[in-house]
Amino acid sequence: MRYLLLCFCVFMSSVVRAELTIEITQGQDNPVSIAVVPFSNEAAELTEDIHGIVMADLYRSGRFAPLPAYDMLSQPHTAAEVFFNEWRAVSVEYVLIGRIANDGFGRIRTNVELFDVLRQSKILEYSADGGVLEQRDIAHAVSDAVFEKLTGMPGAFSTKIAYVSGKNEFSATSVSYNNRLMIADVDGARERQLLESSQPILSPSWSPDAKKIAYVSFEDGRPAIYIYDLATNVRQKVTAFPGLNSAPAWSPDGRYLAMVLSKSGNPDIYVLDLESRQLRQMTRHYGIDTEPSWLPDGSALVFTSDRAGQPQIYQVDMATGYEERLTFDGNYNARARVLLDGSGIVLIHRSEGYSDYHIALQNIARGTIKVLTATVLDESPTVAPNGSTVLYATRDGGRGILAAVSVDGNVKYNIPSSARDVREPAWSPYIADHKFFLKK
Amino acid sequence: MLWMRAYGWPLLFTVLIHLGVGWILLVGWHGEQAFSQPVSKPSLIKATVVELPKSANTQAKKKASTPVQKKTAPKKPVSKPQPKPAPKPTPKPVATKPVETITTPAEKVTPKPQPTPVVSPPVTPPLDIDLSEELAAEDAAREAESEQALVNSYIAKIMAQVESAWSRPPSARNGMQAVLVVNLIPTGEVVNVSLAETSGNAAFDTSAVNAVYRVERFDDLRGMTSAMFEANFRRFRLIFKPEDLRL
Repeated sequence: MRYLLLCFCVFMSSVVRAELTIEITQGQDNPVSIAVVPFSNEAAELTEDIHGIVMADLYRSGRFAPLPAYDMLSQPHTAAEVFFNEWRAVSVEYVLIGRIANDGFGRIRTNVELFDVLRQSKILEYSADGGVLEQRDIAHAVSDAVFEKLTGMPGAFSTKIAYVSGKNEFSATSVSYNNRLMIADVDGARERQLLESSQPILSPSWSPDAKKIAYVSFEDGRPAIYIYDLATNVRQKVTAFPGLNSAPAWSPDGRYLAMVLSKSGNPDIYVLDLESRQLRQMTRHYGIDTEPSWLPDGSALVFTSDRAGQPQIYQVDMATGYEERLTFDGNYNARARVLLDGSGIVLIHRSEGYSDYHIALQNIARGTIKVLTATVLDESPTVAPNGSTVLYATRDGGRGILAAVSVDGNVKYNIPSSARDVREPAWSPYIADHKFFLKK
Repeated sequence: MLWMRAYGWPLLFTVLIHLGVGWILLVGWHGEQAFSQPVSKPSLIKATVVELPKSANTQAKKKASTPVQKKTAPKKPVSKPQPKPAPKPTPKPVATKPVETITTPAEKVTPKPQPTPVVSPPVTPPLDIDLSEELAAEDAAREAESEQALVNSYIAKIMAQVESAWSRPPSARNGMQAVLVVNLIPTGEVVNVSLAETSGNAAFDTSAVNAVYRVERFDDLRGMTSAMFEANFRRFRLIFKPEDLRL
């Protein structure tokens, strides 16, 4: 009897202990409020606004709402000067402070500390240094570190973009269109010209080590695929088959180059082994197959085909050659790029009954398509290596510009550029060695 | 006169239509309003009804009834026509009335808010005292049920507050799950948040914990009885499991 009673008590206590459980399945995803306090500066040779670059980077990511400097109750530079209550009073959740100094050997060093106001603790201490020419690299490295700490994914502020810019040039006797292949920081700064041609340049594509760029040039009067070596500034012609040579795409391991050739009479997807120079035909269909792009693991290619009467995205398996249609929503889906974690495809999309082309995101697991942009003639989406942002070409006031949108569609901004037409953007992979880009 | 024969009826018809349209425009179209306000907050109304059986003086009742009237005030034009054909705003108030009328004299029913005068007439008089035990049991069960409903309405408020404070990091994906244990004090203030089960993504876990810290205080919990607070909200678990992300 006593035993029974004990059992009963144990049972009852376990019932009483059963805690109330509430499930949260939605969120607002408002940008997180962060205060980037102006850094103290003791380096005389500073020419760039490192603090301003960090703030702009974080703002552009769409995940952060930096507090304007005039709303700050104080501007601390050391941990001892940070008073959490005053940051709490202006609803700031994180505070970033920093000090810039010269290390005595001609290098600029920036030390930053990041504080969590809600938990009243320091959560990151980071320092970056570099030469006078690397001030922007220092700033982007700080942004990357902060972004990674707060979002759980690496920042992509230190990466580059390649693109083609063009302009009509008028001489006394003729009008010619001038094309340039350019690279720049992702914020549009530090533009560098790789090539100039009076013939079209198309489809730049980065090698996975970010040291080479494959592209299509019409400089011989017909299309050919070239590879530009950024270290040596030497370029090399890869293919110039009769007919079309277009849309090069590096495989994730850097060994293969997928491309479109029409040497058999109609555009199909081919894969070129860059070491053995062997060519393998991946698709054989009388429809047009174009715009190949690799899955992140290199196991398959996605491409655009009009075999069903209108452009849709298909996938071909590298090992088996098995082909499969991926998109069914909308009457135009093209130029697919797969996110690095394989969770989604970014593509150009036109909905049934509409005439506008938008950048959209297809969730691979669910098959749903969400339009991300509000501009109307969107082209050439390219995804940041961390998958957080999509860069694309669109038109503004009759001129081609580059614009970016976060993958959740919440933040949109334009990349500043000179007065030239800009198109065909390609976002670089992560860059291991930044000094590489400082060379002329 | 020939035109009269040809156009007479159509003319009359047209004039009638115009008059009809004019009348509708002038007098107003009352039919639509009846459909315009289907939404109500049943949980709150239930809660106030439960308090009524206390053999209380009229002052206490006024306190209880004022919030209800505030809520019903905007609905007045709608709620008046409704009860006449169908005398139940919600099933529960109907059940409560007979019990009250046994224990309390009729005068108490009269100062009640709107729904009661409609509901009071039913079957009450023929009940015997023998049934009182059963009724008490029923009463308790009903009270427990309505208490649960009240708890649920508090849960809904907590959910709404946490959801509006939750900013997921870009690395968040549908299907991730983090479990937190939250400790409150009776003012609704958050005193401690701890991670009971990680999602495997540190930024995701932090975003969940920060959402609770950002709420700081669940203001709506302050009016709750301390028994209810101790039983449910002193310490509870929050599961963060996004289902609305794009990826």
